[in-house]
Amino acid sequence: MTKNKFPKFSLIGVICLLIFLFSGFFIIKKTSVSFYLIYVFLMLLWLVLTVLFMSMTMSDKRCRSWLLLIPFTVAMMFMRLCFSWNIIIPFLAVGLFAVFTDSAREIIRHEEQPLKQVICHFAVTAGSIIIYICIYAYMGVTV
Amino acid sequence: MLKKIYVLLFAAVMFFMFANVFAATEVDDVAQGNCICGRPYYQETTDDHDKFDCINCGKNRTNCTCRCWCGSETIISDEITVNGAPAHLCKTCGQLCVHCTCADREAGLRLEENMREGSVFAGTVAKPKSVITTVIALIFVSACVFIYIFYYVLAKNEQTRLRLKEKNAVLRKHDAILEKINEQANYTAAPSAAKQAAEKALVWNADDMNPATVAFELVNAVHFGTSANSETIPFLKYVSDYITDDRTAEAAALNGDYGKIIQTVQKAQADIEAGKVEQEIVDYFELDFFYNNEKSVNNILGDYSSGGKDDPALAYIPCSNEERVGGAAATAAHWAEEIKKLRQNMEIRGGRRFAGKYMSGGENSWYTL
Repeated sequence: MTKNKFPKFSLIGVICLLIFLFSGFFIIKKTSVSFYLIYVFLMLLWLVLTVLFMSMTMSDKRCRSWLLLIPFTVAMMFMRLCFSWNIIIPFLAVGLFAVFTDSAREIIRHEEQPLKQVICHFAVTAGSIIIYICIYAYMGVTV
Repeated sequence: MLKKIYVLLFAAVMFFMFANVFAATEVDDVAQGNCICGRPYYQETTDDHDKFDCINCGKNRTNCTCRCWCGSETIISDEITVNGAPAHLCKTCGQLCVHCTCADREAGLRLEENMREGSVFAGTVAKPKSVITTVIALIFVSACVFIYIFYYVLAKNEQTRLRLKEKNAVLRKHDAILEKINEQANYTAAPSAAKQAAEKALVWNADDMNPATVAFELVNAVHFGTSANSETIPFLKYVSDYITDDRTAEAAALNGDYGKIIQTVQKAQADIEAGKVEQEIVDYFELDFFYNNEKSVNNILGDYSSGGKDDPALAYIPCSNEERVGGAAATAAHWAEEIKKLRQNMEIRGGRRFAGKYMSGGENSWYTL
């Protein structure tokens, strides 16, 4: 029985998404502590599922495409700190689409018939972003 | 690395598209009625403000000191009054601020309102106020991304399809060649039924080693040729060589399909030369049978469609392959016996020419006696 190693570049994805979640934590304008707890729980669940499924559908077993999320995380933090851009969703969405685009190109390069796997990967990416937006909407955040 | 940069650039374009679509659907209610600065004033008195207060500076519209709504400085007119207060003129266009045309009034007022509410980011871009806006923006961007990727997917699929098509064509050719090779291999590896039968039947014993057996096999060979049996052709060549005293092919024939027959022919020849065979039989086969047989062989070698059937000397030979080949030894022995009887009859009737008449076929042939 072979032991599956956790792809190390997925850790980059986990860290970047945690930064996004941490930034979103300050945008929520709820006074109740339970809302923050729900936010943390939902977002951690979302993070785990997103990283897990996106890594599973990637062609590269080392999941190097997660590296592309770094510039978007840095850009989001930079704009937040320097220009007070309190927005997260565009950075996160486009960052995840960048990850998808890169890994889709890898899939296209390695697979003979890549359509099915690319659609599956796209569905996972778009689905995770939609869930993210829904969680934010539940928390009263639209940006 | 370069590809990752391309992806980054593409993603950056997507980001600005996202941001623009993100903010494009915001429509705010602009209050009716204008202050002297061109901005609306409050329509109702509340705890925070009174009616007619400027929504920008909060002062009454007659005391407003704001800049023009377009952002330009204002000139206070001494001659013109609005609502009893000195009118403000835009310094850029020189018109009343209410009628200023320096910029898009609706967009400018909306931007100011958003900035007052804190729903603006990146300077002028409005934040969306509903999650539907965000989802629409997401769908738009994701569609762009997917179309971008879908182009490459289709290209790869088409490339794969063409390559498989080409590969299948090559494989089909290879299969055809392999099939042909296998057929040829099986053909040479597995002896034909005729060859197997011949090898089984041609167990020569001392009694059978006579020209009658050889002649019978030669006739068989000739008759094979008439049914376009390709295996017969090499043998016929060897026999033809043998008959015409060309011995160059005999050595190869010894290891060939009909090597045993050739061996027998040689043995028969040796027996004839050694005088072990009666001279009358020798004469018969040399003068009559071999003459007819050589003609048939030559006919077959010249034209496969013709053969021994036209030769009256061969007309009485059994036509079944199994009978001719499978029972070759027994039939040859029987034939030798019959020839012996015939020879005795010839002696009784006074000469072999009489026998030759019977041997040439017809109602009175020896076979029907």
